[in-house]
Amino acid sequence: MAYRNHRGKIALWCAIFMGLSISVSCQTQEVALLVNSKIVLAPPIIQIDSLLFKESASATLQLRQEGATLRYTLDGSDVSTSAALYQSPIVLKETVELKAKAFHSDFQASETAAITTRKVKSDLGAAEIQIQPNPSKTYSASGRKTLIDGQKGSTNFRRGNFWLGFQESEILVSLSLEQPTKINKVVVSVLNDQDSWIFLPQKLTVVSNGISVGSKVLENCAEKTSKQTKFVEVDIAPGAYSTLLLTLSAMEGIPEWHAGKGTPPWTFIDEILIE
Amino acid sequence: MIERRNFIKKTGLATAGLFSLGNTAAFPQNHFKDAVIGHGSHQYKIDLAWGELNRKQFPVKDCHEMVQDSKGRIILLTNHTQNNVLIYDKSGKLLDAWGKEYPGAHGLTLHDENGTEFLYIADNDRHEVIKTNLEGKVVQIFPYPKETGKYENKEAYIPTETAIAANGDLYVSDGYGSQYIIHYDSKGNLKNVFGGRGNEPHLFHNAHGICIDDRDPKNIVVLVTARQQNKLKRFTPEGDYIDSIDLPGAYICRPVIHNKHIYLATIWSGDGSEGTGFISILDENNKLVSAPGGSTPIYNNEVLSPMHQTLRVFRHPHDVCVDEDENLYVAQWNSWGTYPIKLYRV
Repeated sequence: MAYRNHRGKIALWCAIFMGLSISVSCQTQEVALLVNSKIVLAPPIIQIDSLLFKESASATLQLRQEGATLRYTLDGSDVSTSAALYQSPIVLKETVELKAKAFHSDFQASETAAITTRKVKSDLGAAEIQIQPNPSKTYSASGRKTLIDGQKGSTNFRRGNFWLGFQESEILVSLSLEQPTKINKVVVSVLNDQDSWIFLPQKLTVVSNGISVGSKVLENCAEKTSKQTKFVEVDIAPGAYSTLLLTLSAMEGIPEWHAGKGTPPWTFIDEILIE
Repeated sequence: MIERRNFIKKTGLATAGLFSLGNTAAFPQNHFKDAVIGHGSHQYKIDLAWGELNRKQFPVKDCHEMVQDSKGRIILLTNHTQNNVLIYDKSGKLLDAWGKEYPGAHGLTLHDENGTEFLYIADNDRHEVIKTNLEGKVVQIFPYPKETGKYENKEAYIPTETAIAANGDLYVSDGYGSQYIIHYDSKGNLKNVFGGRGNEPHLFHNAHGICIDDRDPKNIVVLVTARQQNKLKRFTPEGDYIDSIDLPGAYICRPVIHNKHIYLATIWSGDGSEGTGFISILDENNKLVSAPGGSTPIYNNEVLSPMHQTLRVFRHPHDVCVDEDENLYVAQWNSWGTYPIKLYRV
């Protein structure tokens, strides 16, 4: 956030004032007021009726600031001043990353707000699920079935029965499907809310019948990033599977830059999907 | 002080004048205009550097609350125990500093007692309220209210704010503790307890701030913020619940009455993310009329549309002090140890 350093700028413009011999005395400028160009817009608020959907979802963007325009992309590209202008709710029919930014003629453009919505391709509702160890009593939602109920939580992890929270180094989730199913991807929906000491897992591995069939390492989980929910995709060796054992490994400790440095981070999961 | 407001208007015009001379090559002309934030009748220019001091000599941690005394001085309370109280003039010049014994300094209220002014400091860590004179001499301590029967130990009591009625009665909100409002007479004898934790209308989640609403002298009301609930709750002086003012999306800290308006530092907004604060200003009908740094207030059928931050000017406003020119001083929590921000009304 750019502020505080505006005094130098004021002095510069005073020099220009004098150069142009305009009758403004810079000595009387005792208060260095903030100018428009030093102010950054807040990012637009993205609201989606359903982050997980079977047919389609509807997304709205909002920033109630006079003169602000909102632009977005759906292909993962950066949002520039030539990106699509938001005018009415956006209908989403496929898994997409929606990115949005606010622009204004007076102020600096906002940071990017981003959210991924996902089309559910396979229903896990009938699967057997076991979790070890159990989630924290405070964040146990509706128990283990919460992870395969097709319901997704928001970034407000305290709201609703969506999120399971763990303060463990490893979380094991086993899934037994009704019948062997072709799977090429396991998707785990997790939360990043570093102010609440919740970090993304460092590593996910998937094992079936004792054989490793996929893994994913999140290199950037210790970096300082904004609050968001994230779908972590793990590619699975092609095949039909009837059991899957997922292991989520947390970072050993919260990184140095954080107030909770060294202590075990929290891991929050709200849904597991297969494709 | 009208002069100051005119002066600022003039410098704004002078800047615009410069650019109308044709020097607009690289930037749109509004870029170097003084920013004006807020809506309708309550709009402000921003001085981020107000009150900046040598951080080694006069450090601040959280800037929690500010009040103005009868001499016009601006008194800041911080939980930095090198100088819990910093006293400024309105230009931001430091006049006095005192206090090393308030590690949990949080709530600051000034009361004029028959011509002598006193401060009430609600200390989160000490679990008590301390009354001092303006030089920092302790004159009375209100320990945890064991006599209410609501508290097992002092740790369950984490007072965040005080309000003093015209008759000297003291109200303390236990906003980080058990959510009760403790009502004492002017001598410190317990008169009443109301509120408590819960979802019912008369109960609280984070009864963070309290004040006496005397805008209608025939109808005195005690206002209490339920910060996590985004509501301002109204009670009679006897503690009977009247109704609530809904401010969806606005995590309001404490109500401050000035003339006919209520000013509320709003520490977070929207989904409660870090760094999303702004200022809320309600009119005499308790309708949000301006939100400097926040979204344009819109009512649909008397219901306020959820509020959110729109400009990254503030991080975590924790209190607003309003001076006689209706300029604002904004103290911020958890904002990298920065000093208060002044807003000049335009």
